[in-house]
Amino acid sequence: MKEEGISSVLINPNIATIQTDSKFADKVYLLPINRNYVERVIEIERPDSIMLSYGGQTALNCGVDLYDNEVLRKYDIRVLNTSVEGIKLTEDRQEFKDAMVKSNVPVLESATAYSYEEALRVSKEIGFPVIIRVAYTLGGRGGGVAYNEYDLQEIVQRGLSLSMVHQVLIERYVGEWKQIEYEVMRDSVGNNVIICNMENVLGMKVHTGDNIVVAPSQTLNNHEYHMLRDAALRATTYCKINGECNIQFGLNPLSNEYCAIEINARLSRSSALASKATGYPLAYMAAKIGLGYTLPELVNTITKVTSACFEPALDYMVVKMPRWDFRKFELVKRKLGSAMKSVGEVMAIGKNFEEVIQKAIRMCEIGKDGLVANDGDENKYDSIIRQIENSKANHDTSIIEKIEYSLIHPDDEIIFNVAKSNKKVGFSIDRINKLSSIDPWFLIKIKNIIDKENELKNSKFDLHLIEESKKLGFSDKQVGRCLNLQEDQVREFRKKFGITPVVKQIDTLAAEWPAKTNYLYVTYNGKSDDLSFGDVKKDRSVIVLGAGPYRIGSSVEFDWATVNMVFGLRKNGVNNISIINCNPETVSTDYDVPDRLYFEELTLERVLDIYEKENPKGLVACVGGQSANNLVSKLSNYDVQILGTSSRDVDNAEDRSKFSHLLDVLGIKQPPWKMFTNLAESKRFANIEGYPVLVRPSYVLSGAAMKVIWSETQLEQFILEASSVSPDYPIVISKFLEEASEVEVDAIGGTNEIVIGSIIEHIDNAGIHSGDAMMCIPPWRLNRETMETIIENSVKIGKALNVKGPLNIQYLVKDNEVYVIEANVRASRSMPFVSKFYDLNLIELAARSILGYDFQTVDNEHWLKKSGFGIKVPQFSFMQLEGADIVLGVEMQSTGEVACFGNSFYDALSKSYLAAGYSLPTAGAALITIGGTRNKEKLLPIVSLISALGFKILATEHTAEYFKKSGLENVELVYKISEPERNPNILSLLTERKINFIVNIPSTSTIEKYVGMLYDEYQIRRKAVEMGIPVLTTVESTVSFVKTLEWTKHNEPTVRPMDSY
Amino acid sequence: MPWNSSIDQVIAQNPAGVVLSNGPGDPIVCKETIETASELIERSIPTLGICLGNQILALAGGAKTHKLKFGHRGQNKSCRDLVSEHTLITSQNHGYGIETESLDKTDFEIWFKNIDDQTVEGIKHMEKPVIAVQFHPEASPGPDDCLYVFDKFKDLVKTHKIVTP
Repeated sequence: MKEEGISSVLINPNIATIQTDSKFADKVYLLPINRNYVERVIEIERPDSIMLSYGGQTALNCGVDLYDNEVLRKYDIRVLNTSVEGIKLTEDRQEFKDAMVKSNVPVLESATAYSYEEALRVSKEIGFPVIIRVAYTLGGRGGGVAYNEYDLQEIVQRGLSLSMVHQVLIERYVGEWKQIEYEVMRDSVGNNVIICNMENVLGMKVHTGDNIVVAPSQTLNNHEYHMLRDAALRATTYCKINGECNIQFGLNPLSNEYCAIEINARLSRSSALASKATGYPLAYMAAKIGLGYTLPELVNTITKVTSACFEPALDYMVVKMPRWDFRKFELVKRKLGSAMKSVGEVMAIGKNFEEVIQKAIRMCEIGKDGLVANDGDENKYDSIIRQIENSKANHDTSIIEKIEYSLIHPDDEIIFNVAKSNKKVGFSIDRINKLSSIDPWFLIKIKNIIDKENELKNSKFDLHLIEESKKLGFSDKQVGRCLNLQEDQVREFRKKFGITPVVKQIDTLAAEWPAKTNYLYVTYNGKSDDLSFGDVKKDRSVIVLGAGPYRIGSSVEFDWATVNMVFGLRKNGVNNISIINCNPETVSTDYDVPDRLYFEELTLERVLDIYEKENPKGLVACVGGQSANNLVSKLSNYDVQILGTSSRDVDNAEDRSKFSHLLDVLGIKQPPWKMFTNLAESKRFANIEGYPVLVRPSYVLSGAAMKVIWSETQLEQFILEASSVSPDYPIVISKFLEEASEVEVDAIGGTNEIVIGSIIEHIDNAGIHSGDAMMCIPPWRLNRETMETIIENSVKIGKALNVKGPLNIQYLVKDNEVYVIEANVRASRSMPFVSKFYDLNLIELAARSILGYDFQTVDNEHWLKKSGFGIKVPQFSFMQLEGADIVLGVEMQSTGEVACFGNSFYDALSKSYLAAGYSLPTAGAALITIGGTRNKEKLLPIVSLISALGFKILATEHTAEYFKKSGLENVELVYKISEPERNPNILSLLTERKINFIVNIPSTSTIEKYVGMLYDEYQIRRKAVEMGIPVLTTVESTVSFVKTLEWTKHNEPTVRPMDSY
Repeated sequence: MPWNSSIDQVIAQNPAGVVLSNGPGDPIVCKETIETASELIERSIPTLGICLGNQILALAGGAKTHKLKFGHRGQNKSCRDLVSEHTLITSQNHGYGIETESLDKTDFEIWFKNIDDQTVEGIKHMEKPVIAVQFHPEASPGPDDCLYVFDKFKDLVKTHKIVTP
């Protein structure tokens, strides 16, 4: 739009994305995406047109709502790209079916049922197996696959009771079919092309978001490919798609039978992937088409001479792997199915499937070095083999059944289970295919990797074999493990014999036209580099490391930081910048951001490969989150020039003992802590300091988690479970300060100064992970003296660590005493929030500092002079994670965040709540269950306020009694879910939507979920999440929520662009 | 039929229409085919040229052919139908092409153009029932976008009954 001279207004409350930086849209409104707020913006801005297809399902739904309520007509606003009528054809189940029939595209037979008898009749007509979806319960809950009448009865009866409209949808189940997707571009005059097609390795069984996806498809023949291509073009033509859309097909592997599953008439996660897989900028082209261009009028942005009306050719293949974070959630079900559960993804590029699948596994950063030859594999496998041998001897089939089950019902380990079942259990390709429905083509490739591992293990230094294994994607670590060598030995050895990778270009047309492109990948399957590094070396470059896959704790904020670092470096005269990153969902992997984009692994091996090719001035690792930061010390062992804080100083901040010593020297307080290698010592420490204590492994192994421990028994249990506590793996125990507030500082270190971005105050008390806490800037409860201490300490720490670049320090404040928790010498989660609120780009400052320039005078108290408030609220995905509990703790669980700005604290908070998906009820009933007398006392005034606001108070026996005794009126007694025979029951009130919000606070000593977690309370929280009812689980969050309700009763939140606060 | 079949041999088959098929090679060396093609045009016999057949018909009509700087090979080549103004994806495998300007002095007009290098991808005779495309509308492998070329040919066959002398 900018190129066309069109001004734009962006509405998005996502604070951490680069999108809401002031550089892109002309105006940015950080507001909830709903009809009310969008209409208010429309009223102010009076735009000519609106684009609905770029903000995911949220924007699409909001657009339909605006249309249905005549808002678009009222303000005479055009919808660019696909019209709302077209969108509705793809969104409404029945209209979609009708549209497909009219386009001569088959769909699956399905029907609705309101009783078991009806469901049975319908299922018999359709034929088993059928999939049952429950109407109006979100998150796919209650549904399932029925292979026979027995299954059907169980699922339908459960489903009918869960559904608010007592309705289930029965559809033919085609889990064994292939799942194929096409990305279509279509213009207003009817030109249409397929940009990319993709194949889901796990077929129809698993949601494409949780599937392993390859592009282009690998197992379709010409007829199948074009049959589906033609169907895609017919269907999208019928729906009058304008711009981009994604269409999903099911294809029977045994015949030519196929069906359309759905059309997404918008840019989607799949389109982002297709863009990165092909180098075709789908969103950019779709925007141009929305503005009225036809496809042939647009130019291929890579070749600059050929037309954008073409179908990209790929002389490589890509694989997308999802990243799950199930370990962060207790009780969550790990099975993959029709509801998406992953939190991020990676994309690997290479020349063959073996290479890309192994690259992708490494990119996921789940502690694996590839598909095979991982650390600890042998022990694990040996135990399986032993089990199998034992079971054979005992004629026990349960182990085999277990393995078969894991292939039939995939979970996050499916790819490893496939390898295991072939390698160790000896299942044939045919048998694995029958069980898993994974196409034999993929299974044969997996077997190739297994065979190569065996060859390597049985060989001695065989050059040819090492080269072959590199071509199949083996890392130096894997090769080393097979040959009993260290990673660096393998590296040295193969470099000596010239086994090195080459850099290849992605040019969208497989080198058919001369194309200069900076979109690169690294492979062993090639003879020479596609570009000459002579020029790169002359004007020496700077390499910036990105953050890899989105996951809990490392998300879009590091993409923001990476992109801003590139912009900042460029602004300060660096004209030759490379990015290394592997996350297809980011802007940092847009090839027009850096001068060269390496879509590559962030492993030591690959970063060194690229470093050696480029011979850069240096490498920036402080904007890629913890994973990039972790590489610093390893890279410096190889004489890599780290730009920014030195590796020694990074280590001083990261190593607990060293950092603690530093704090002692500086005279800065910290909660008492100690490192332990045995139980007796740790018990003694905990007894002296007093419970609760915070326990964490000093080396965070995958799955090992932090925990607040309340008693000696619990401590014993924890240490017993973390069985690997030993001198090699000690644990750290620190005193957990109750009712302390948590505060952070974002700062940037320069040559001789530390610039404070802001002090950030958590709204929740300490004990909730900083990523899950609501935060406020500037701080609104801290007194001046405390703030001065915090600033003073931050400057001291920053200078002592010689920080050059970003710095984030976390503090606890209790009774006006300030304690340091930790310091991170890297970009933090809150930096985009701080940068946008104060209009001071911290990463740009960091770029200056890294290059050795000073900051042109930044007022160190700028953040104190700012009026208004910014409040950041986390966004959770509990709904999608079947079974997950929502009580927060020291482990982070949120998957995103929003922030809104306001004139006052509650002005900002009310909008942030709405933006994060809370509803702010104005009347109705509140369910209140509070554990422990102390919490009840603390909450009494706020419960009175709830009552005064006109809400009915619903409470279970003890709580109700307490409130009544305390003189509250309007209290009604309700009964627990576990007593279904007693009425009024919480469950029925919830399903009838007679509860508008819930205060559910476990007693203090059971904050940690395992301890006495009451199943009943869990049920209430879980049910509420599924019904979209706000649940408050801490005293502080309850206070802020209720006061916000009070504020909104008398005030209207402000609607203004980001930069006007 | 063999590449060097004479017009008499073709007529002897009593055809409703004739298809001149693909190569490979330089069309100039196919002198006999060009001669036969001239007669097909002359006698108003419905004719469809594909790939080399397209070049043969152009040569028969008096145009020139040349070797392309970059041959077109693949199933993802975008061509514009100058009649419908739609851009379609075609299957192609050719190293030679018709010289655009040389068509000026002939009775052929351009039907399809490659949108990347603007080379001729199909021609139509202005009077006679003769059409030709440089790409492969039969598309095996490749997309079916241009199957309608065969419909067009079918129409020509239907509307131009061959009168055997």
